[in-house]
Amino acid sequence: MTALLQVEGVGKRFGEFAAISDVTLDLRGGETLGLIGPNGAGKTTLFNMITGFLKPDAGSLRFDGAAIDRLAPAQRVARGLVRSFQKPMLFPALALRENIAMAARQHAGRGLSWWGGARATRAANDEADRLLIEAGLQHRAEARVADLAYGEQRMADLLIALALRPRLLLLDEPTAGLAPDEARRLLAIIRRHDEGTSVMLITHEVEIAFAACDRIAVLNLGRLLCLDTPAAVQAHPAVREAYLGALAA
Amino acid sequence: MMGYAAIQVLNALSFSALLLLTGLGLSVVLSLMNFVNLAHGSFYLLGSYIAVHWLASGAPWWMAFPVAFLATALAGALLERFPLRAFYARPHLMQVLLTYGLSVIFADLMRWGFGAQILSPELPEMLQGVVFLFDMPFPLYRLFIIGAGFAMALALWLLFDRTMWGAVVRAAVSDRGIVETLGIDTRRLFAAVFMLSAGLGGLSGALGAGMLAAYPGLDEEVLILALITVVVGGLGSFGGTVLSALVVGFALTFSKVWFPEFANLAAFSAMIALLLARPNGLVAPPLRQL
Amino acid sequence: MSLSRLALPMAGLAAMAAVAALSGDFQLRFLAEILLIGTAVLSLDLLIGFGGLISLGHAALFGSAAYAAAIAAQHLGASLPVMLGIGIAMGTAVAALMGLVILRAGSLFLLILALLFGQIVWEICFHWREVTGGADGLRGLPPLSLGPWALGDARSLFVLAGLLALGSLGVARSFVASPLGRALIGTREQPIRMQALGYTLFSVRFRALLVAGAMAGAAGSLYPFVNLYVGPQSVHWTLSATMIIMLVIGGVGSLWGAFLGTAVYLALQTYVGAWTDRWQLCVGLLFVLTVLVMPQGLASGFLRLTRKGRTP
Repeated sequence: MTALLQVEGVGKRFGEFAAISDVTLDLRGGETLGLIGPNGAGKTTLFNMITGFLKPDAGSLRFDGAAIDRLAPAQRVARGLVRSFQKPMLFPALALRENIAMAARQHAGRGLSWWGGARATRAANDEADRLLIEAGLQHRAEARVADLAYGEQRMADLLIALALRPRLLLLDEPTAGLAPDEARRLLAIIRRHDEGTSVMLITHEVEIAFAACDRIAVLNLGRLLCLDTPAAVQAHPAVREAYLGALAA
Repeated sequence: MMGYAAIQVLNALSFSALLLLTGLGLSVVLSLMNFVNLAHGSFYLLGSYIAVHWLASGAPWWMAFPVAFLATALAGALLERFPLRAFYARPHLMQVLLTYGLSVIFADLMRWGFGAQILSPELPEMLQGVVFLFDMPFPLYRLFIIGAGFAMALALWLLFDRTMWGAVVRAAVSDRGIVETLGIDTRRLFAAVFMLSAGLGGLSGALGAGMLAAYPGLDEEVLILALITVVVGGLGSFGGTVLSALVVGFALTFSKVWFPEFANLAAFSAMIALLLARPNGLVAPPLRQL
Repeated sequence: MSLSRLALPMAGLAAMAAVAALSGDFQLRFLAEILLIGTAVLSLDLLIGFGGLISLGHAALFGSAAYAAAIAAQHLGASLPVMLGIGIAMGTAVAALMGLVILRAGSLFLLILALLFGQIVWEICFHWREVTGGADGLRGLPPLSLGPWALGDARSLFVLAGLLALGSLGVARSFVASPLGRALIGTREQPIRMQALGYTLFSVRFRALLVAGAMAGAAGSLYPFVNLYVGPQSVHWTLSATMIIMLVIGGVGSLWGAFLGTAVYLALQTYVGAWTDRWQLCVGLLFVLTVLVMPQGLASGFLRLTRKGRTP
């Protein structure tokens, strides 16, 4: 199986602080890759570089065989590289349906249309409603996002990303701060969509990573400790020491 | 030729000194409180009028400058209490609107109080007249502006760089939260900084009156130039503001020499080119992470 | 199209007809001025109210179109479609140039860059005497016409300005409801997320600026014919700032508030100005009070009052 995403020797410094040093990893088509590590390990920094929001100081990125280093965030999205955010990043003044439709319209290539925009709007609203029904949030479609509960906002953040029909979905702590049943519902939706979609999942909840991921990459202090199956990662001595140890402390 | 060039350099320097003092006042408020004060030009013009009237009154001339500083600082303190303080946390749009509205009010009040004519101060005898440099006459008063302006800037630099108070201000610029957890009352800090800013505006107005005179509309002209100075210099950087005051002062002065008809056009185009080349200013502050 | 959607424009047309029939020459010209500047303020509302783009150079779009139309009129005669075409083209072209300059940087930089850009346009209009008349501006323009009909009288100008205002209001509404308009709101609310959705901020904002430029240009192209004069004041940054004041008094983001704010401002200038020299003080106080007490502007304050009146 060929790699969908290849990260080659990527590094990033902020002044004296090396946030990411020489990270090399690959993500295979169709797999769910977990990205775990203690706070400050550089997980979000790596995400920001993969999605184009930060420029790496070193290394290269390939997506589906092509170099993407010089592409702006929007161009990477057009190729199917879609991310969510650690804190839900929504359009607070707009209705929930409109939040998702904003993504659906852009995916349909009609995000900037004006004349003939009514049809694009209708199609996007239908797509948004489909996702809302799937998430059990259709009764909130008209609510302003600012008025939603935190769990609903998290779900909205995911639905917005899904409306872009990603080929690779990068999720940054999607279950952080959620009640267990909310987290389960959210993970179930991710799983339902992961046919044809690869997922890269940042989480600090180790159980979720072990349960949901095909392979797990462990970052610590900006370096890749290991990248292997959950069972192998669990048994890895350096991981136990650096990561699980740090967590227990 | 040599003399002519030297005179123009001195002209540019005296203009830069005024821009520097005005710009520093604007810049410190912008980088510390993230507050855009479009009423800053009003402080400048108020300072100019105070100096004109003080110098005409027969009181000791040198006191015109501290008096202008204190009076505008006091005006700034009152304004800071109400309504500006409530707008520190508001978006730039609201700050821009409020302070521009205030500047319209102040402009009309000053036109009412001081008249619409162009007022030039009666300079004290020891600052009147010209000195000859390479056989070219140069107004003595402009040398005084250069000296006083850059001395004041040096004093400010010492204040910000060498005193405990300055350290607190600098810390608050880079991270307000940390300063608050240290138990420092940022409200009082902000009020003090705003007073200083207003005072600097008034002081530069008092100094500048002998060069640019005082008239309605000067507040807006100065405000625009000070804003350009701050933005070109880069936010939150003392050195950047010094550098850009020099750049703007020289650009405006020499474009008047070289393109008398289209002076501002040339200077503004240069500023735009500079800003496009360095969108974060000459001395860019370190970028924050996403 | 449903009846209710037609009701508002119909009411507007009816009101216009009544005013046109009943008002005198001076009032009609004054109202035409309000409607034209109001249209420019409306186009500014698209940028500020929906895009969060505070442009302090909007008069450059309006004024350069006014100059372009006035200059063309001296050579080609003042045929209405030609004037509108030239104004829209000029407004759009200047907006495109402006967009390339100002849309590269964050909010405060945008403000300064727009101001600088606007002042450059002003310098050109002020100093290029052979073409623009310099400080004197251009006078002695031919009256506006459409084929055999002369449109130079106050009544025709008022009706033209009114039609343009209504049309622009319709265009603005359709823009705001369109995917492009929604995307513009998105770039204001959450620029980072918009990029993560595949939108390029520049593309969205640039298109919005072009639309605003075309609209301001259309208004500007008719403006010289109200008083058969155009001067450098119509390009100066103080007009840009005045447009923002008008917009805020009327209500940012309300669209029709743009006309309300323009009317209030110009009425203050004309009627209070006749009665005291301190009209600028009045404008400033009204403006600051609006910002402090009713930051949503008179339009929404008015709506809130009528709604309160309706519900028991």
